[in-house]
Amino acid sequence: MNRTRSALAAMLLAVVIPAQSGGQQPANRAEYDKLVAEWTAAGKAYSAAQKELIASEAYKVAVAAKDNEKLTSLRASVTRPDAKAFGERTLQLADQFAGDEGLDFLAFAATSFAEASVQKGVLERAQKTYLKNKRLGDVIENAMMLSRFAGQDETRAFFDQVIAENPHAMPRAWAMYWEAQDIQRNKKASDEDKSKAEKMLAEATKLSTGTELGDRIAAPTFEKERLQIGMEVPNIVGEDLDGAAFELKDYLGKVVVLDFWGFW
Amino acid sequence: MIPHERSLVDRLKDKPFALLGINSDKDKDYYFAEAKTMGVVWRSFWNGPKGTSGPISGKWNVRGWPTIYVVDHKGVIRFKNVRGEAMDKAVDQLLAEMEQEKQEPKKGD
Repeated sequence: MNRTRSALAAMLLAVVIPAQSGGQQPANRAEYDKLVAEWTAAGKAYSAAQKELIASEAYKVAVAAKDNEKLTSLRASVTRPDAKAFGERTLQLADQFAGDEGLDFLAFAATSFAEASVQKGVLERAQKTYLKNKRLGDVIENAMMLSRFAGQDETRAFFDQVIAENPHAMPRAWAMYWEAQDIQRNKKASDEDKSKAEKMLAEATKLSTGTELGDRIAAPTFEKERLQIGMEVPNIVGEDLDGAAFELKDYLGKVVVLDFWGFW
Repeated sequence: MIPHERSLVDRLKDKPFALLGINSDKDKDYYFAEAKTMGVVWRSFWNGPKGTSGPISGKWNVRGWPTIYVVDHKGVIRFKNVRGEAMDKAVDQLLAEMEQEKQEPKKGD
């Protein structure tokens, strides 16, 4: 298996191999857990069916014969989980549990479903109901999906609104971060926009110091100043997959290969 | 990659060497199933439920997967993104350095 792929590709793939519920504990545990479990199971079934197909004789024969038509039809026989249907169900639940409780469903929809109608629904509800909510950052965190599927201009207008009206640190920081990213990725951005992006990043850094977002903003500097050949390696404090705590510095005195990897 | 890493770990199991992963699978069940099939024999930090958007890779500015750092016994970063044979060579070189240092202590030690 070729594991060399960009982080973006891994992220897009991860949309199909769905997430466990991350972050805050939802108030409507039962409904929420059921939804997440069903989506996770659908993703697993899809991965398994794909693997089975690739291992099948018919597929191998078609690959060997470079029979693209046959390959296309074989691939079409494995159906993807229905992101639209799952997404719409999630939005309905978000409405049903309006108020703070609905936010969990909205955050789940924002991070899980690569579908225009769903992401538009997320944006609409976030704007209408949660603009000043303290936990709105949970929804904005994965804004690459929002901006990709709900429209770049609409998403930016929403961020401006969050920055102007939300009084809480994390939602503001996330909105500033993503808007700055958006500007910095745009090769045609005006000087005015570029200096706006810099100011927003500086402000987002202040608001998010000590959080994952703070680390993410500081990452290019961290790499430049701490991760070059000849430098003392920064410690990593974490847990293994079994949940046991350990640190990189426990391995001082040994030669260590650090490998950022995954099966995905 | 995985069979190669496994053979490196096997070959150096009696040496002062460790391969440490930062694993970015979102779903631990999936990780455990695959790890069993593939014979993963090394320890990994877990990058958390956000997968490749998790906290460790985020802090380290990791944008490509896999990303590799090779660290010597003093904790100094010596190689980056070496793969396959180049990874083996890098590790062997650092183990040899370590051995040599043990045999020829520096003046003043």
